Amino acid sequence: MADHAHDTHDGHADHQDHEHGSMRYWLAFVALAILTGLTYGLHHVHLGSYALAVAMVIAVTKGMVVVLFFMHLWDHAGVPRMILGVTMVLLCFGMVMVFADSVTRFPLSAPHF
Amino acid sequence: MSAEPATSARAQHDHEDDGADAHLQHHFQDLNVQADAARLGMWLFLSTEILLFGGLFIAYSLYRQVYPEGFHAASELLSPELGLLDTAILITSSMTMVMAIFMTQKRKKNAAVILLLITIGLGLSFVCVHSYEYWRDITEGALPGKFFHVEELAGKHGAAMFFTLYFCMTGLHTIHVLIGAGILTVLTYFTWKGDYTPRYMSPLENGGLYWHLIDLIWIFLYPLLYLIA
Repeated sequence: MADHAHDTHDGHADHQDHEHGSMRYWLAFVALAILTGLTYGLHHVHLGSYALAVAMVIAVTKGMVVVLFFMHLWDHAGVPRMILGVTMVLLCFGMVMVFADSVTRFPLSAPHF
Repeated sequence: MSAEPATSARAQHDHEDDGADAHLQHHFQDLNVQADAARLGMWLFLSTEILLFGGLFIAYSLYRQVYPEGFHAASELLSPELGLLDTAILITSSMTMVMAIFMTQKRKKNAAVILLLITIGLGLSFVCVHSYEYWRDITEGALPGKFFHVEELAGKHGAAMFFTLYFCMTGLHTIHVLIGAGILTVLTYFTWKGDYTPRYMSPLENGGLYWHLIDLIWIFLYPLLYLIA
């Protein structure tokens, strides 16, 4: 946050798009389009048990492109990145704990789904 | 050293009657600090949104682990091509949204307004496509919970649960699209009025963040719901 505050007090350093132009957005858009095509194309390829992992790797990559460039986290270092990081850690923690509970329960205490 | 006069001249030019100072709240030192605070608040809000959808993603993961065959069979009722169209619409709308902000930074108000209108139009197109998908699902009997009555999936445990999660996740997402379109409509009006300038555009930036989050969530919904089979 302090680094960013330092940047923003120098005129227009806050609006990095002035410096970078729109090329980064077009590149991000093309990357998203290609990755979306790849997601759909791989749906027709038999990947067996790897299908979900491959789909998630592509989805996470697309998500990173959106977050870093469209949502400007590439420029806004500091607290916004930390907030997103902590949110992801909490989400992963929730998922791990739910699955840990599900797979380790004594059979008679398991819920009947 | 030679850059200093140019920087000062630009700063002076930027401060000339752009009306931005009128938006400065008294408890902030300047517009940049105010923009930082607004962005921080927006990211905290987005964090709660991610955790809201995160709960549904966790429920989805758990039930998919319990009913893998039921989820595979139920997913075949959805159209991957319509899902692809949904994805294309949202990704394009994210592009037009970020370009609207870029054009505002470049002081091209009319271009920004047009791009915002295109973004709203794409958002409403998404809702139309998804409404058609819901209509298909409903006519086929692919309804949530006890209302599920697809004959070919009779006896497939988990198929009804898949559609319960499908309607919850995509329904909540579609509500967000409608709210986002409403927010963008208001932002378009103020952009057209000329309220937003390179020095003051926090509402537009934060509205954009909300719209991109909608895109971000759909990026994960598409493969998990439409591309299982």
